[in-house]
Amino acid sequence: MNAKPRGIRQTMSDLHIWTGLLVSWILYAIFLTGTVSYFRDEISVWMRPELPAASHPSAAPELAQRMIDAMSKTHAPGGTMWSIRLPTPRDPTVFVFWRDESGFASATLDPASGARVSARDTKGGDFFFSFHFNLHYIPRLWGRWIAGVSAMFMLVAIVSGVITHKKIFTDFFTFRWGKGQRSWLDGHAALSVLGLPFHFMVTYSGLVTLMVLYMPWGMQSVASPEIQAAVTNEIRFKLPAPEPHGAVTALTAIAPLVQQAEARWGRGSVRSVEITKSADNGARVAITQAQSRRVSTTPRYLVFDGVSGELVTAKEHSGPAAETQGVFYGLHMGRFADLMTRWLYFLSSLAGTTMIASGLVLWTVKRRTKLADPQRPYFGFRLVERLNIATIAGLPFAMAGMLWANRLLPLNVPGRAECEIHLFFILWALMLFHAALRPPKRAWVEQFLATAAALALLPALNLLTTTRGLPGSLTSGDFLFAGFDLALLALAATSLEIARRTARHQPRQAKKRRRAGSVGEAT
Amino acid sequence: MTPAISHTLVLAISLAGFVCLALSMNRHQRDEFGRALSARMTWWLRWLGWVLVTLALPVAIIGLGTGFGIVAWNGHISLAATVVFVGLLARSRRREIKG
Repeated sequence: MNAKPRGIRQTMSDLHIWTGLLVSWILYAIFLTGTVSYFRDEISVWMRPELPAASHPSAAPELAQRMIDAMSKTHAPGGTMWSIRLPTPRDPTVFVFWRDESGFASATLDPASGARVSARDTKGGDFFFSFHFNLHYIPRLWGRWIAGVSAMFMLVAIVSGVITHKKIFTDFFTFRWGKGQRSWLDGHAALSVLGLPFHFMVTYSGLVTLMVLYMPWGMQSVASPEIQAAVTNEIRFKLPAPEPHGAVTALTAIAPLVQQAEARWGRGSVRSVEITKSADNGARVAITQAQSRRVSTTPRYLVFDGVSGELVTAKEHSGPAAETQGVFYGLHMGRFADLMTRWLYFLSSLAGTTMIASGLVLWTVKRRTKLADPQRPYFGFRLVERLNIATIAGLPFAMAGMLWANRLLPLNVPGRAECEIHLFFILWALMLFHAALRPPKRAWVEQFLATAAALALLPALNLLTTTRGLPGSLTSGDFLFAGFDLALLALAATSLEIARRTARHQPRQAKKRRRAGSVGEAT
Repeated sequence: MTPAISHTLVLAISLAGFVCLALSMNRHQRDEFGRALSARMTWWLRWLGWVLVTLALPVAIIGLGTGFGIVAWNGHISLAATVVFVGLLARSRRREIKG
């Protein structure tokens, strides 16, 4: 260390390297599971292949009426609350949930008949989504705090990274091929800079999604529960909790109410219908708006009197503070996105995941050339290297493994959904053992090869175990299944290419010394 | 404009913009043309690039709505810049391999 005062770039560089390293493994897992969660509905559908493929459902008013009739006649005649989520192009079935004397229950219905459809017991894409901020096997609150602290570190790493990057504009399109550490640095910078609007947005808005947990004092200062409920009401759709018992009233027809909502908001704009009945013979029908192409998640709904059919409340605006929160929340979740924008979200998020991975690898690349004895690195170096392998290559393998479990586990295993999740973690732990035991380079290659094989064979497994294999789904226009299988093949090809390049890689001869400053300053 | 046309248009304009911006840079001029372009030409390319990338924003807002348009524009400019980045890289690799 020299005695000269260190410049701001050098200070920021150190901050970037060490904040980054400390949380990058967990951030990588959060980013990768978050990335696939942009296709959460699609994953859930793919993991329940028994459910009917997308059809052309009838218009919302008739469909809603048909579901209400099915609920009152067959599924939950004594229900004091029915909630019905209408199908979307991404999720072609109807999800209902209700409350009656025996508590809360839910089911999936066929939009054409209102009959119950059963599917294998799985958490589907909801697992990746939940893991993304709750983690698993630990109390949710801990998981959320770990995710929040990691996101805060990420924000620090983004800001310090931008300050450290000296030539953000002149090097915008620059990639120097085959130059070892220089190339890794160029790649890391490119992944960061090209997706910067997304990386910053998603990290900051991620903190906003759980802001009431991280900074509860604002909400706590609100004295009465009524005002707290009013605040919550500005942020999201929430009706008073239903009572367990309630007299069944003669409900008004639902179709005209849905029609009214569509007249206000446009066709296809209704997301769900929720009916609550209370003991005093009253009933309320709430119709909520779908979020399509509206960024903010603030609630939009109409409440009708369930007996007379009169409009009671129209909630179509929220205050500026709630709207600000709603926009950040909405930006993070991307539920409003159409197919094109969803892919942009997915690709940007994948770039973010790769940015974190390249940062982790860069830490070892930079230090490897300086090792006194490359055969016997010090403990910290070995630890980082092994954890990198088990995280960067091991996690995608475990995720693919969970899809295998989804197809191969017998349907009647008790606690099947949980078994899929346990298998995911078992596979991931095995990857950690593998990474600890094998020579690093071989561990990289073997794990990426295993991932490529697991991904590439999934469409084949799907073809053998379901009726919705790739040839059939392509010819019958089952775009969700076809797209999913093709995406798996594309990801398999990517893993294979990484394995191939790693296997062919020849470490560069340790050079005499690089020109002082050319690298150190920019890292 | 249907959303599909709007998306295509926004991406195409952003792509053109980033091609201009890349070609306004000395390093890529030498890579692509073998020499630096004149200062005048460079100035025009840089301005055209900025104008096109900026122009894509109102196109997105008109075609897709204000909030949604801004989000889509952000995604499209990231994608367009990445495509130009990968394109330049592939071209320079091909030149290196050819000799």
